[in-house]
Amino acid sequence: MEKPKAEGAQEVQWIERVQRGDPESFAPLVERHQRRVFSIIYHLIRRRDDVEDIAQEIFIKAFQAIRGYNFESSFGTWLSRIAVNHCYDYLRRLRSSRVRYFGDLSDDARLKLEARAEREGAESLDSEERAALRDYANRLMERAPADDRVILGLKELEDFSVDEIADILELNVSTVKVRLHRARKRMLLDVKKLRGGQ
Amino acid sequence: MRCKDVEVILYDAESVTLAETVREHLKACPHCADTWKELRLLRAGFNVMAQDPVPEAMLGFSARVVRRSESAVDANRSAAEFIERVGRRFVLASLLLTMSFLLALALPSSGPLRGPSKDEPYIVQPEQNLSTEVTVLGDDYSDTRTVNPVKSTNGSEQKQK
Repeated sequence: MEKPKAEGAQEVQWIERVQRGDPESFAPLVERHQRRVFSIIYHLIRRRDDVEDIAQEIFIKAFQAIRGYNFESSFGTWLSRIAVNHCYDYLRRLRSSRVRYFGDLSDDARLKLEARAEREGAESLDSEERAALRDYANRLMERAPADDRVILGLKELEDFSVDEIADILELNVSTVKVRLHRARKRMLLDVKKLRGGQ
Repeated sequence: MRCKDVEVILYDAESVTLAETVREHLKACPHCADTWKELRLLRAGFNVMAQDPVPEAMLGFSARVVRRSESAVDANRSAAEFIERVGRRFVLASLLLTMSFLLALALPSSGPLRGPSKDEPYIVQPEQNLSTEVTVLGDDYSDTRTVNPVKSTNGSEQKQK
């Protein structure tokens, strides 16, 4: 969504002031974009308690790098890029020190949920069913490699378009489509493999 | 339609509405139908996850960020200044050492700063002159000999040649 012109001009002024060495002008930029950054972190990392600390690190990184921002992409996209890269590094560090047990849904629960989700959509599910479904998708996301997790998180949870993801990750649109396709396929193969092994 | 083509459509489908040909294929192919069910379940799970409330920033978050950013910049600046200061001193010390070394190389190997040289006969060599003097005067004028006082038994001192 495009920002109103006046709002954009105001933002440009803040950015230029920070670039000239006025740190106080960074505060309104943080306030304007914090919701987006918090959302990206939460959807990619899924650790509610860590979100604020990670957001601080991201904004500090942005503050230190702001002199290099040249207005080629929007400030929001530039900031999202920093956020996504930071989350990506965080996930890679996390993954190397973690082994997770995959707790799948029982067959009955799965069939029931499949039927309901297919018939009525996720909105119609009760809180218990939603929790089971969330747990199911969450566990699959946690098992996914960092690359898949980031791209699926941006598409399915952050609801970015393929073009926006391409802009954030600095990739071609076709590459993003291929990566999304592969990520979904790998995730489903993982489900089938684990069910086969049970 | 072939399963391979249908799979591509299923994985990339943006919505649950599928074309008639794909739906026909799903009715006839349990493998593709199973894949579609799994994909829909997964998508439903993602929908639930996406609706989870995102944590809000606590009060004063932006002020904290600005404060920490400034201190991070200050820390970087002091580190840079320290490195610069130490570096400058190191460069000065290196320069001084190099200059001293070059000066030492450039100075002549003898002279008032270095002491006498073998090649400079006008400077008196004390040890050599002493031995020459002894040779010229001979034993008859050997009053330069050392005379050790000897203590006599009766207490008076005698000179011994």
